[in-house]
Amino acid sequence: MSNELLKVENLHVRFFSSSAVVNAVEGVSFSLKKKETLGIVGESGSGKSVTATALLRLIPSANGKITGGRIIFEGKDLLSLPEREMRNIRGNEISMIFQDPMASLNPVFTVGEQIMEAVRAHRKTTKKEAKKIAVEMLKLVGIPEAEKRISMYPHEFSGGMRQRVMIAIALACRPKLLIADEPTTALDVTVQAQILDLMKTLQEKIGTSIIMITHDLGVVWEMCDKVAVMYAGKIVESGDVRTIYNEPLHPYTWGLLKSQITSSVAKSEKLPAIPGSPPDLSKNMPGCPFADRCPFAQAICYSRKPEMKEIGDNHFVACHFQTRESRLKREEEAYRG
Amino acid sequence: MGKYILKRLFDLVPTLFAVAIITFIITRIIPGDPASVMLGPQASVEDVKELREELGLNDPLHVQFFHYMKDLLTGDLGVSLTYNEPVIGLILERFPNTLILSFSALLIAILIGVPAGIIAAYKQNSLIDYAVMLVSLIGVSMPIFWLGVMLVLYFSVHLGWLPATGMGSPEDGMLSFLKYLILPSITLATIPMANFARITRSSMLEVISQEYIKTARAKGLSEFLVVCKHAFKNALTPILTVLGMQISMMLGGAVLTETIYSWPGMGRLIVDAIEKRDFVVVQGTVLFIAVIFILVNLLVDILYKVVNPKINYSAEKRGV
Amino acid sequence: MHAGSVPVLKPEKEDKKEAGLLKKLLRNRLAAAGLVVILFMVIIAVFAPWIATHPPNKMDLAHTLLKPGTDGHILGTDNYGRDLFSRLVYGARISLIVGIGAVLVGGFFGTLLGLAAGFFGGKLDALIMRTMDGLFAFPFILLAIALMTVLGQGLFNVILAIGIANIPGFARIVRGQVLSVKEEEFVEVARSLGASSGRILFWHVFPNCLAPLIVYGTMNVAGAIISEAALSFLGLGVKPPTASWGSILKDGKDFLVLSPHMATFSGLAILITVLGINLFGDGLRDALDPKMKV
Repeated sequence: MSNELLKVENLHVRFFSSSAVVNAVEGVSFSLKKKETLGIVGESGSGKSVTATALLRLIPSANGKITGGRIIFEGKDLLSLPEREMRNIRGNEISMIFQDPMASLNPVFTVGEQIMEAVRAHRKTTKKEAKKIAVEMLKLVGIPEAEKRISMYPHEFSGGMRQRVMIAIALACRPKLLIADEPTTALDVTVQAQILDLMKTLQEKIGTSIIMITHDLGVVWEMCDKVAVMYAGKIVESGDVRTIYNEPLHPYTWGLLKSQITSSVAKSEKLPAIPGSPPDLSKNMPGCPFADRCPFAQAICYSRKPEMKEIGDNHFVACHFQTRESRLKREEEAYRG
Repeated sequence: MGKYILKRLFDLVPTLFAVAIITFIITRIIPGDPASVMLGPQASVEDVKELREELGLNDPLHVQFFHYMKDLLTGDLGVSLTYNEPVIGLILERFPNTLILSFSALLIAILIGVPAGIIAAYKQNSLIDYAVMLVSLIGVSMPIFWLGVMLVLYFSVHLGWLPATGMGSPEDGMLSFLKYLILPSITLATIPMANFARITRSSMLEVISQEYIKTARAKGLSEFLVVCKHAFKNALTPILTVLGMQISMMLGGAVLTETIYSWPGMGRLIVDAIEKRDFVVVQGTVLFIAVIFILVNLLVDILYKVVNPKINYSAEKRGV
Repeated sequence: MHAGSVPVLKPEKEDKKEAGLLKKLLRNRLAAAGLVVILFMVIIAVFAPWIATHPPNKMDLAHTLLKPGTDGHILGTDNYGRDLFSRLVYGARISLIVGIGAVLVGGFFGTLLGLAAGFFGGKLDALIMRTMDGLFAFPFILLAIALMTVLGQGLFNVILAIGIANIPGFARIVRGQVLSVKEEEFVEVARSLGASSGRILFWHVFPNCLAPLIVYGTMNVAGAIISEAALSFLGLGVKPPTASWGSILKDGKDFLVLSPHMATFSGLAILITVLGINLFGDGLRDALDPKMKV
């Protein structure tokens, strides 16, 4: 078990507004080993970003709260730490990068200053030393002319370069875990591939584990060892990427895989979409959250919440029906109709 | 940066020119004869004519303008009709006093107003926030001359703690000097203070919800650093925009404040000159203040660029 | 709409905004309170002759500086024995007239200049804005003071002086709006349908400048009222014996020790009125667009 880096148990996050309470994350559990990459997939509103944000306890306290669960990082429960210790972990042992690099970089400070700040927050270094480290980091993430670029401002970089800068900031202190919240979504397709490559290379070099939040199944396939599929604030299926992609068990996972363009979908065929839309997370509904959109929903699906059960080797599903055989056949027909 | 400053200096020239022209227009072209206004309704026609001749008011306009510009460029603002001294001398005598008053007031306004705004924004919708907003609102609605009078009423007349009028001098001891300075400074500081609180609050609110604040937190920085370094530096731009306007209002407000407290500054000079109908002094002093303000604005613009390297000066200034 | 005319193209949001506007305004209780204060003052000003208890300028040198409540003088008398309450009531008239008048003057000319500068750009824009910059260099009060020194005292002159000092502010705001509206698509559409510049300017661009203009104008009334009071305080405003809140304060300052009621109540009148206008203006701005740069 000393190989286990992170273990999230039964995490609950709620948001409060004047009119409603939203259960953004309900009972989410997963684990991550050292040097492993976990992908968390789902559509908008599935709670994947909230989960990521919760790991660093960055949920805006004005209207959100982690209401239950444990986040065990290297043996310590992060939720029980005082804020001061948590700050020691942020940017240092666990780092995070976000979706929009232009918005995520402070426009009034140079790129160098922002990297140096990350370093000096956690290491006792002189300004000169920090500057050297900053230049090294820029070189590491593949930014040419690093010595010159260090005194430039974010708006003087292109989108892909900015994301590299973000990665430089995040990895400056050689964190054990990097959380990447949709890091390539805002980038051009060609740049996306570069950034993912960079992340993989750096992971090798530094030995970081990565949690990749995304809605893009292709990215998961490229980058991740394991994947957890989220829907309406809950994990509906999780396991090794290859296993899940070859044999998806949950109807939602199946629908997701089908709706993303793969080479097997002929051009003339309509892209299958999962009809319906995600449920209102402020209403506590009994039963499976996917029931409304599930082609196989039965009475039990509306009345009782399915539990996560281990079906195969490290393969978990939350669905009342788990017989693989009958599943596959029916799904072919259901989604085609 | 140097290029930017040079460019701004270059831009100043037309504005200075405009100011000179406007002052000229106000005093020479607007209907109403300054000479007769000055001498009062009892003056004889000859006296008025003589005065007009003396002031060069009978010359054709372009001649007047030429003399006017020539004088300006040599720093000659004319001779006071009541004191019979060069106006520029009178101004320079009193300018430091107004400077002291304005500077103290600005200091108070910034040191109290800005942090109040930051705290109000950070604790949005809390009791502190509402308190700051309410007090600021009253502050901006307050007629400064009434506030001054009320403060005098309470602190000088009623409590007898502080002197009501005059300036005192640092030679008499710093403490006694401060005693004279407090009430006028607070009076003058009130409206800018309230404005700073409001603009800081709204600017900070906008900035605090930005993505890069999340990044700063994710780096493990303390809340203090996040708010006061990352958030505030970005919030500074609108505050600086308002800074120029506040200084302008303060230079105007100084006139009223100095009247109430008999503070021997430029404001008193103008008001006395108004009573004595000495329009040469009024014209010269107003012009001087306008020029000072233009220079102050230049400093503010440079501060802009220092704070936010993204700013394109002409776009921002023109209100785009 | 008859054949051959270019349809007025406003962005769709406009209609939905009107319905929600009133609702939003009324929901904001502070803004509603402000409106109440404004209406209160307007009523006092309009019905002054009926509300005042005494003729405002009637001197009574035997009964000067009476305390509030004596002898049927609700708020006492001033240094000439004139009833303070009545003078304050008539002072409301001055404030109202100057407030609205000065804003109309400044607003009218300022808007024209701003529209011209923003819409036509180029040299005209440069010329107008340079002039406005020049005007802006003068602190507002000083500009008004300089103008009044030359014009002489009087109600009309006060309106003119404050109005002129108001022009650059309006010009800048309108110009800013025009510049951003100019880029919107519906202007291009109108042009492609053959509308002339003038038509586009007045029928399409201008209506979309109204929101910030209205808010700014409202706040400006407050400013004008304070300016009039300030000018009167300095002896530059309306001619005595006309009752203005500012001139009452001016006289009251000299009698602060023995009779603070003159200074206190006149200033209070100004404070309450301006506070009401500002509250309402804030609410108006939030209802129209909280992000408005006014």
